[in-house]
Amino acid sequence: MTRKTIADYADDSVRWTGIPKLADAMSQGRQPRYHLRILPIITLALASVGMVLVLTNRHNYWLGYTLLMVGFSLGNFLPIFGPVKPWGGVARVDEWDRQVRHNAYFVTFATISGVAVLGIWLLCWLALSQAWTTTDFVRALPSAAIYLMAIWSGLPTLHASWATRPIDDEDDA
Amino acid sequence: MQLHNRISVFRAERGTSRRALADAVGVNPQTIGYLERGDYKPSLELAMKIAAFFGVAVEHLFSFTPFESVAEVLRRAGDAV
Repeated sequence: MTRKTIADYADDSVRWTGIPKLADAMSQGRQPRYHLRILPIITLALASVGMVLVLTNRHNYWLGYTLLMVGFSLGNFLPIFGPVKPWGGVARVDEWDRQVRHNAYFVTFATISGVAVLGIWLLCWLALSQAWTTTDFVRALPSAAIYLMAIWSGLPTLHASWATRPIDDEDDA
Repeated sequence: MQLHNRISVFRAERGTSRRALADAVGVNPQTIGYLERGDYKPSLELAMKIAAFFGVAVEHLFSFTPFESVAEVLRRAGDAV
């Protein structure tokens, strides 16, 4: 019986995390996909609260920015496990997948367009009414861009997860 | 307008799994599930591929009016005899 080396234990610990198995499944487009109905709401809520704090409360800027970044960062994991399959992936994308993706991104682009237009006017109004300094602008504008990216990463999964009902594997007879 | 289908009836009759049908017509198994549940209307291409798989005309599988239940068809057949 051979003794395990430190490298073997290190390999075992990596395998124990499940990440190599998941990476292997992802490389073949076989990773599990779920209807994530609550998580996108949480990520978008965090980002929205953070954005409001950034814009309205100068004293809580860092709290707002942190919430915004947490929402944005969590949102980046949603497309990996959500029901919307990405463009250019290795997983088989059939006509149902294309329709779900089309609807999800149509709603997302429309929302981003609306938020961006309203946001520009809101930034102008806040800058004039609250006599923003250059520092205020430098803080607000990148945050606004990150907020739009948070919507981009979270909203397609939110829409697709609520617009369709999951089908269990047990249904497959 | 709702599009009714009886893919599940044909599938059960032939003993075909959802995955086997999906592989034969080039879609994911979940898409067959959504079709059977009436949550998704197929393209003409997919509808014709499924019909060809079962060897029937498209209108035998898909209809804008609800299909008669199997029990009703059997009852009528029994009455006729």
